[in-house]
Amino acid sequence: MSEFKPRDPDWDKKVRDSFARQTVMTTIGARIAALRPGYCEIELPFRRDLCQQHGFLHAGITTTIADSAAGYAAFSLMPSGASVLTVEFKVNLMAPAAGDVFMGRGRVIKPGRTLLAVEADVIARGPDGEKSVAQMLATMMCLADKADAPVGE
Amino acid sequence: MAGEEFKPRDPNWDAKVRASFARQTFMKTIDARLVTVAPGYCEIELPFREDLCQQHGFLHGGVVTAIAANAGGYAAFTLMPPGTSVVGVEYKLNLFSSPKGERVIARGRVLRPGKTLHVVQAELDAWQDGEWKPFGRMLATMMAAQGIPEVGVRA
Repeated sequence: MSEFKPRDPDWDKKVRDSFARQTVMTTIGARIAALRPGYCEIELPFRRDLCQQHGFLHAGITTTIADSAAGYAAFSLMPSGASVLTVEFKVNLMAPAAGDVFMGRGRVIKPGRTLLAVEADVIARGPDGEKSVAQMLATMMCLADKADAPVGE
Repeated sequence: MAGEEFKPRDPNWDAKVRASFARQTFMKTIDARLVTVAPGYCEIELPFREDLCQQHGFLHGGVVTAIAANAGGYAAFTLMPPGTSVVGVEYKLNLFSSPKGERVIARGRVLRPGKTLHVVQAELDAWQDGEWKPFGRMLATMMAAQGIPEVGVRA
């Protein structure tokens, strides 16, 4: 799967550091479950305070972990000193997000110098096995001269 | 402004939207508020919070997606017949810039109400230097689902 060569030898640490700065990940209880060049998996246990009106995980939360998984898959391939930004995405919601644990799995399709085409899917894991609940296609931007950490850090 | 050309098929449209929104625990978790509901139109506001951010200290794209999808979804729900429930089918979001400012708003509008599928859009603006500045736009498809009770499956 990892046919990609990271341009930054520090790719693993920089992704994990950036993820740790995403306060919303702490707020919702998400963590990085797997990380490889061009691939990132984010795991989120179900929580009742993150639901929509039917009691399923809110699509905004599904999108949150898909977006970060896609963004960090891209970020793992970006050169040192660069920063990642989401330009746009399309999400198809295929099934209600019912399950005990959710996995956002982002992978790079095409790593360009400035723009990276990425995809992410979200899997729900429950007593009946695994089910795909959402699919994202996204464009991530590499900001070459913008540090990923806020100024002062 | 807001979809005054649309005729709701459910006389209870206002109350059912507010009740459904109130059941979304995630909206409470992030302090999002239903500001305006009109036939085919819905506004949701979210105050900036440091614990809902991405790595640069701006609101996470998934969080602003949540209010955009809800504004679009509830704009559609105002026009859906009694006994149906609103379900998001797909959306596309473009982010023009990072949302700066103390609060953001999502303004959802129905473009085309169908029998089963409703095409909606949502504009995302951030309150910055005394005015609303656009920072994102969503185009979405919402479904009027039969047979899913609007009141909690898992609640």
